[in-house]
Amino acid sequence: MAINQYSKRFITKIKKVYVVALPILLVLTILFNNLVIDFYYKVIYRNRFKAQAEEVVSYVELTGSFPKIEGITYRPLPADTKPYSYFEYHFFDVVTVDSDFWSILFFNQHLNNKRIKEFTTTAKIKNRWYELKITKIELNEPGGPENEAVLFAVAFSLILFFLLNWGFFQFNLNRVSYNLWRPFYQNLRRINSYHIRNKEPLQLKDTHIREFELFNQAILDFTTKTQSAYNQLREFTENTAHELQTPLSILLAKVELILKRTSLESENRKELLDIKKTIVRLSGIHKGLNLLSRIRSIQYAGNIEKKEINFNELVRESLETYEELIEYRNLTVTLQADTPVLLSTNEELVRILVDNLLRNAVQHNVNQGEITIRLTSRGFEMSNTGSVVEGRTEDLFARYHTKSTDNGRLGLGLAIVEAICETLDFHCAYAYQHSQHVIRIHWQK
Amino acid sequence: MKILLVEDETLLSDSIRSALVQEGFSCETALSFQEAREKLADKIYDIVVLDINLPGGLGFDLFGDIQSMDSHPGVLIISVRNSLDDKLRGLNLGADDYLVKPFHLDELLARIRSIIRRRYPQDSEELVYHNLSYDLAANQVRVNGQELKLTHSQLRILYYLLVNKNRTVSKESLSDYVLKDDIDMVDSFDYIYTHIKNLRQKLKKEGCEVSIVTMYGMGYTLKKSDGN
Repeated sequence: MAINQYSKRFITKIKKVYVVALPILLVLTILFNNLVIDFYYKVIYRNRFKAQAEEVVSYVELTGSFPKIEGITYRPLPADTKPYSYFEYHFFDVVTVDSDFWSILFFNQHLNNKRIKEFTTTAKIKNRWYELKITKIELNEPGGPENEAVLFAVAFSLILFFLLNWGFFQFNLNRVSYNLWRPFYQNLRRINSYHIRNKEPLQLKDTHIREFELFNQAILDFTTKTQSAYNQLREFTENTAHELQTPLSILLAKVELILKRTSLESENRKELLDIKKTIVRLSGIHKGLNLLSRIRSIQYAGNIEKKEINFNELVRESLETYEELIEYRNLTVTLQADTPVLLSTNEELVRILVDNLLRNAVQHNVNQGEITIRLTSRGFEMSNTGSVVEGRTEDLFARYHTKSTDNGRLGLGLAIVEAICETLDFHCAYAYQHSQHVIRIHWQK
Repeated sequence: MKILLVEDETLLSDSIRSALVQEGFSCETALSFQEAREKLADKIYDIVVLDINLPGGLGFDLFGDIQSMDSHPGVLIISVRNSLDDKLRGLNLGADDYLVKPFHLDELLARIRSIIRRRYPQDSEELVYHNLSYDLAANQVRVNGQELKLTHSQLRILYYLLVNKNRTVSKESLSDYVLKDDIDMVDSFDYIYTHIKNLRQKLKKEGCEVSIVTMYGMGYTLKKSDGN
């Protein structure tokens, strides 16, 4: 990614973090240094001294005599004492060199100082208990234990410093990548939730990153153009659907006036009746398109009036409307509804939805066929017998899917169903099961 | 009966006017909002046939002028506007009926006649033809005072024929009136034929003096039976 305003700002931010983080790292290292030296003296060095002292004790017990070594004192103990041993370590007893601030800070008085170590233990010689106290006073000498301690401490501190730095680096790396890509993902979310039917144009966040800005600009240009084209088309469809009804009514009125003339020959009459039939069909197509564009504009406006409706009642009313047609075609209708289904939604649209589905089920049925309506709280299902649909079933909801047997009529019904489902956030699906056409509508996902 | 036709499309206006004149109405036309307003102020009409989209204003805004007239004319809206909102608005303003364009002239005439009947009731809310009577309030058909059970479609067919009695009603306008939007769902002529066959049987069985006569190639007419 190229250096730009945003990444520069971010790098400055990281630099600032480093200014704070480095002293903290240093202090941590120093504290750790101190701990390591303490550890060296209290564990490693102590064990070494203890081993020396134990050698003396074993020598005493073996020979039964006390060696004349400087720093070892003996003391007889009463007969009934129990054996004991302890280790002592002092700085303060024999302090000869002044310790300054830095040596205390870095080495906790371990260097440039005198130490006194004492190992006290008991030993039994010829059935008598003696106390042995081995004392050692040390100075900071070349080649002494201090050099070893310092090496030890430095090695450990280096390892720690390296690990902390690595950790910090990793943390920053993640942060940089998260921060740099954040505006990208924010805008990606907006693009994903954007739909061309939305009234609001797409809004993208300013990223201040040149590459992202270029990309966003391209997307904004693209969506704005597409949206305006879509809106033009939508308005055009709405207007056409409206405007064409007037000329159609003129045509219809003229043809009917001619038909009213008694002097008409029956041949001409037949031709005129065909014209009239076509006009009526054209008007029906326009009514369908008009409804479709009206649903789209409700969707576009985004404010859908909702109210509580009883779905069972609605289905029953719809069945009543088509009662005679159902009877005429000898269809058997089964309504399966266990519980009353209450739904908060737009009444007008749901009415059109149910009517259209039922119409569809009646229209595309065979005589003496069946219609089954199943109603649950999660959705409803309408299945009907009918001829097998040829071609891909996914196209069934597409607007202009027609069958050759439809006599040129446009299959607008299912397109309207789909548009309503989209507007009301329902989910609709088609399946062909047990030689029945099944359309399922779900309102709960 | 004087009718004012407010319609801006000259061609459509002419056709409707000649259809109305053929039916014996006296009809005047207004081609714009302003013209309609002037005519309403000048003369007295019994029925106003009103388009909504007019040059110079919306037909809805003419209701003030219409209501202030002494004769309280009936109003029939004819419009391309098909939405429920527009229909409710028109009916709430005091329109008697709402007809969506395009419409069949027969249907328009039937609606106008039914408005006239509602406005100027001659003998209560009943259509009577010989011993056949149609009770509009209860939506019932009686023969010799005996109620005749009819299906919804049969009622509509009979109503349409009664309103257009002694006139020939074409199969198309009849099926259009009965089936409306469902016209493409079934073979509409067969559907109408089936219902008319049943209707004839029912009428004959009850001893009705009126029968449905098929006018070959033209349609049906409601006529008094010849003798038997």
